[in-house]
Amino acid sequence: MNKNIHNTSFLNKYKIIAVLCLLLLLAAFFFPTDVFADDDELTELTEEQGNAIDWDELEDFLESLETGDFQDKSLFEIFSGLIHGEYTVGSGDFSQYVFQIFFSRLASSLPSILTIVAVAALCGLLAKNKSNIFGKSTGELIFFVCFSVIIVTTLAYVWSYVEATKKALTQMKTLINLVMPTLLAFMSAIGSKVAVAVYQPSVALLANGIIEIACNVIMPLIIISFVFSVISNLSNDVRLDKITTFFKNFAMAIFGISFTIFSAFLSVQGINANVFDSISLRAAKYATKNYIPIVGGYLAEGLDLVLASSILVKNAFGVVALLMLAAVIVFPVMELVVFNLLMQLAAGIIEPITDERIVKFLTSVSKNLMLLVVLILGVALMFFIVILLVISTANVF
Amino acid sequence: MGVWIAAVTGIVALTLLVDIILPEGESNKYIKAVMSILTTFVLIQPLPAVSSENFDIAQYFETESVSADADLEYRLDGIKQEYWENAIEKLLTNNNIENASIKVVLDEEKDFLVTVYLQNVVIADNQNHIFITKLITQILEEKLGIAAERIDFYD
Repeated sequence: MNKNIHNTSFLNKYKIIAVLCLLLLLAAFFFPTDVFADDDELTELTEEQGNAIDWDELEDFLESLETGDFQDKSLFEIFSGLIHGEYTVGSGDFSQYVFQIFFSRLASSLPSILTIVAVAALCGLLAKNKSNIFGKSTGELIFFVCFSVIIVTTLAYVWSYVEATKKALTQMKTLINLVMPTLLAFMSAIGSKVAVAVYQPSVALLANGIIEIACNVIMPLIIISFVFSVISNLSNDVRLDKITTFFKNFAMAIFGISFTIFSAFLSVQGINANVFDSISLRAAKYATKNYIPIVGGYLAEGLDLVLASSILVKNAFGVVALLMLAAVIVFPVMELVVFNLLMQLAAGIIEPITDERIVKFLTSVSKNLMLLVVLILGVALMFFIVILLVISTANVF
Repeated sequence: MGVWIAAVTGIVALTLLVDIILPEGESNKYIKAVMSILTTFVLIQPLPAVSSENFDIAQYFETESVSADADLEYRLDGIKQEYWENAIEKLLTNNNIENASIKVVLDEEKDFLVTVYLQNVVIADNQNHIFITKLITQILEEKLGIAAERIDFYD
């Protein structure tokens, strides 16, 4: 019995090996033998085209960011790695990096939050028991003194985050202006004219229209919302909660409209243009291949090589652009997320001990900070869609 | 906008101050009512301006556009041209026409304009000059699909 089982498994092994050998033979049969010669030429062409890109400008831009290096590699090294299939951006490495930022920010922001908690606790002890220790008016005065300390501390941080958000938005604009001309040049070299005609105005709309609106219209609205959330919590008699909500929603409505219109139009037109270009390039290839009866696709193969190298370079450069986008947004977004969480923590800690107004103030500040995160991520997502569509353009192989 | 926010902050602070300073009494609630009416007035103060003023959203849209890097495009065209010059020379050599030097230029539509320089051409079977141009035209037309009017010859 045992021997039988052993025999069958042995046979199975042989069967598997035989099938594997057959597959290998088939593969060898299907792959042309001169593939390596072509490969050399392809490498040469891609290298030439890669060198034509202006890398210094991109490196300078990357150095100006707070998140300096990509694992100690220059952009060009990453780019050539991508072309040769050697560089993979490990999601493990990346998430480790993100969590590193997260916890280091957490550690460095904690003291500031503790200041707020301490002042709020003091305020609670002195002012909440106003009927016992002090009179009503004195208690109220003490409350205002403490509250002003909390407001000043918080708003100092908030202001730095508002500045950081503005900086991230302008950096994204700079990145678009650095990256897109190169990608568009590659696309027109490949011959996807329709896609270029679609992306050119969309990118201009993103870089100049939407980011300008975000900086000049939406950011002021968010700042107003911040200010109102302070004023609104000063007094129990004069509540301005609803107008704070109004400004917040107003800002988000403007951003929502821009985002929806942009992504809807771009994805529909972009996909359409991609398909059109792919088909016309394929048709061109097919026509040349059939036009030449004897030498049989000399031009078509050659066209393949030039096209293939351009497409490879375009796609690898697109991935580099995505990495740079990640480098731009990772730091400010993590900063904001951490501070937002800590604000909620502070509100949670002081809730039992202190006046309701301070808790509400901290909560509404953390809600407003989320708007800044949404703003950065929204613009980044729009740019992400653009690059993704560009990468998927005219991949005729 | 800044003035308005300052005004709102001011009126709320004033309300607070009044609330703290005033002694307890009958008149307190009337004063509070007056303060809240004032606050409302301050809040709606910019509304007429907003409705009458034409906010010009176009100013954010009519800025410079993003276009393809012309310099890079030129360099990419150069790489393509060089590749095709080599490829055509190789093709001609394979067809027994040695040492013809080729210049390829891409036009607006990225179509080929080929110039053939015949100074150093070595012909295999003692064929005459006119025959060579015809032959080359024929080869390029047949094998690469380049139209005859796009091919120029120089001696």
